[in-house]
Amino acid sequence: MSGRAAQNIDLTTRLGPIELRHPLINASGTFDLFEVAESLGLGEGEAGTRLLLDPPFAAYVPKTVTLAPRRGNEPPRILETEAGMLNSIGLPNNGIDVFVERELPRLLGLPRPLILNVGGFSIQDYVVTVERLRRALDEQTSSRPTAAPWTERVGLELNVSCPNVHSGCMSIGADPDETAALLRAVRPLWPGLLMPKLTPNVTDIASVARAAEAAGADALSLVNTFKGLAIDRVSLRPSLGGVTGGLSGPAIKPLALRCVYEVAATVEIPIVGMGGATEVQDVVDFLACGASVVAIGCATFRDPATARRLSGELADFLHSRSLSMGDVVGAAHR
Amino acid sequence: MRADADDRGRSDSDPGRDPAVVGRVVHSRTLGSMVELTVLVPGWRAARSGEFAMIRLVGSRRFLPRAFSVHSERPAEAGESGTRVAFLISPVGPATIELMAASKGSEVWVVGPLGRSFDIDALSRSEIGAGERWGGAGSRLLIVAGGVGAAPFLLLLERLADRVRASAPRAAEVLVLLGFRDSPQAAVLDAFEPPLAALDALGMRARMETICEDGSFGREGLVTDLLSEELSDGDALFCCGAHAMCEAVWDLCRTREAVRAWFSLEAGMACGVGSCQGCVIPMADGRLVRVCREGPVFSGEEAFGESGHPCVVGGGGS
Repeated sequence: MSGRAAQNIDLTTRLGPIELRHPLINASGTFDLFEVAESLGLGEGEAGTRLLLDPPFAAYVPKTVTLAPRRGNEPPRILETEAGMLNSIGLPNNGIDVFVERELPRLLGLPRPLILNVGGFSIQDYVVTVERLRRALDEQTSSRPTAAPWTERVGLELNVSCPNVHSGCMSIGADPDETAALLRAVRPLWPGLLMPKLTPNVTDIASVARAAEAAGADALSLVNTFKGLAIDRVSLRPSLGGVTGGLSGPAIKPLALRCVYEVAATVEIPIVGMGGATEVQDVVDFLACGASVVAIGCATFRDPATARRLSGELADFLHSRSLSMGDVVGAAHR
Repeated sequence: MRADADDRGRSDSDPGRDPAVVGRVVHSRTLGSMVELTVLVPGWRAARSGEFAMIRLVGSRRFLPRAFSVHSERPAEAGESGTRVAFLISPVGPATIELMAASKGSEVWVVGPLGRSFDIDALSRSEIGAGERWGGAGSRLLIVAGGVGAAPFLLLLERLADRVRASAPRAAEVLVLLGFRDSPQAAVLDAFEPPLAALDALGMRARMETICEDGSFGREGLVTDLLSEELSDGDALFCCGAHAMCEAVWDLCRTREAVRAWFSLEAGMACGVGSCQGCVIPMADGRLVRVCREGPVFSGEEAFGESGHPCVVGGGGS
């Protein structure tokens, strides 16, 4: 475990107005804090209680919420592949109205900043959803006027990259002009951190990143999953109910690193890098390519507290190499 | 929780245990075509029958853990700390084959116990008509399993013995019906003799009947053949096995009066803790529910409805 000296390493980092105690957050849709905590038990000393009191992530990113409720895709939804997995979940959620009423209050009570995640099927969808979210945040935080403004602890990730829905979303993120149009529409409605999540399923991710930055994005997160497919050995038909799925896990790490590297070379705004990070060396790789925050995705499926271990190991790494976060972030470009 | 000034997710005064712990294989026993893998798990809370754990060999090339029902529990032996938790593993794919080959001393990631269990307490609170509560002199609990589906019921029989000793509500009689594909699968039977004998010694009527699909071990046929002979009005039934078998069992239950039945169902899981939404299956009313959170134990009514419900589940536990 970490030595005392390593505990003094400064891991803090910023994402626009939000300060993070360390650079590890969860990837949207891969970690449902309340569900995991209930699964693990909420008794005294039980693992679920600890997760809620001391979440392993520096910020919590809930699953994508859409304007209308969604059932999600038909099963089977997941399949393990070599060094990773395919998923075709399809953004099941209860819709924004239920979200702001039932989810948001308890999310605001967590001892971590939030990065909410919104998806849509048209620019108008995003506009209406974000407006409702902002109104709810204004209302639900107004009882504490002396506290810091909610923009210092609540950001917004725009999912423009889900590969498992059949319209909107990824088609917006695949096009620089559409992405820019979405950001221009949402920017005036959202005073806090605004961060589109980019798809790697494009020819030139840097051009989408530049368009988002020019249209007002405060940060970028990348990458969502790579579109993939698997065949069932018995039926010889696609294995997943949604036919295609999104590939994640260590299998995509070199592809994701390339995306982060290319985007970091062309934009000034901070980057949340993700795609198969499982061990501390993966985290360092994303930082070196230019990410200042790294999201952990399906590695959490093995161990819900993966980020707790990785943040400790990152401190150990920096200590053992006598490096600071600043030395590592973007090192591959120098 | 400590003040957050320097907390990077580590704390000297941890307020609770970690969700995933590293256990150690202390025993691996081949039972015909299956393996009973016993893992010494630190910090394990006592499991209820039907609960499962996500397990994955440390250093495995498989990316995801797999879900396994808790087969039995034993206290740690001298010099050990934790609980000896046994899992019954049948060869389904590379991950299960890898676990079956794990030798004594191998390290295993364990998250659990998880999920909704079979619930004898709920059963004993239920009325069986005319104000009469289940658990009276004529009450019977039928356990119906196919192949590796027998796994959760060793623990159930052990817990049942605890209930008898504690004079807690329970059935007057337990009847175990096990179906196997072939004689190598039937090797798991041996493990069931001691708890049945223990129940018998405690004065509870306990009986086991078996049947084998290919006729290579005892009587030839399907477990539903046994069930159709044994099932009576008012019985309670716990079932675990292939989805088609569960449906056939429920169809039989529907042919009797006032039979309550619960089924442990399966789906491929990624996280096992409600995060990924990957393990959903359709319920009779069309809702998609997570096997890991809303299940794995479902009542016959919710899973299959008033009649058999066509339900396709992706292959689990490869």
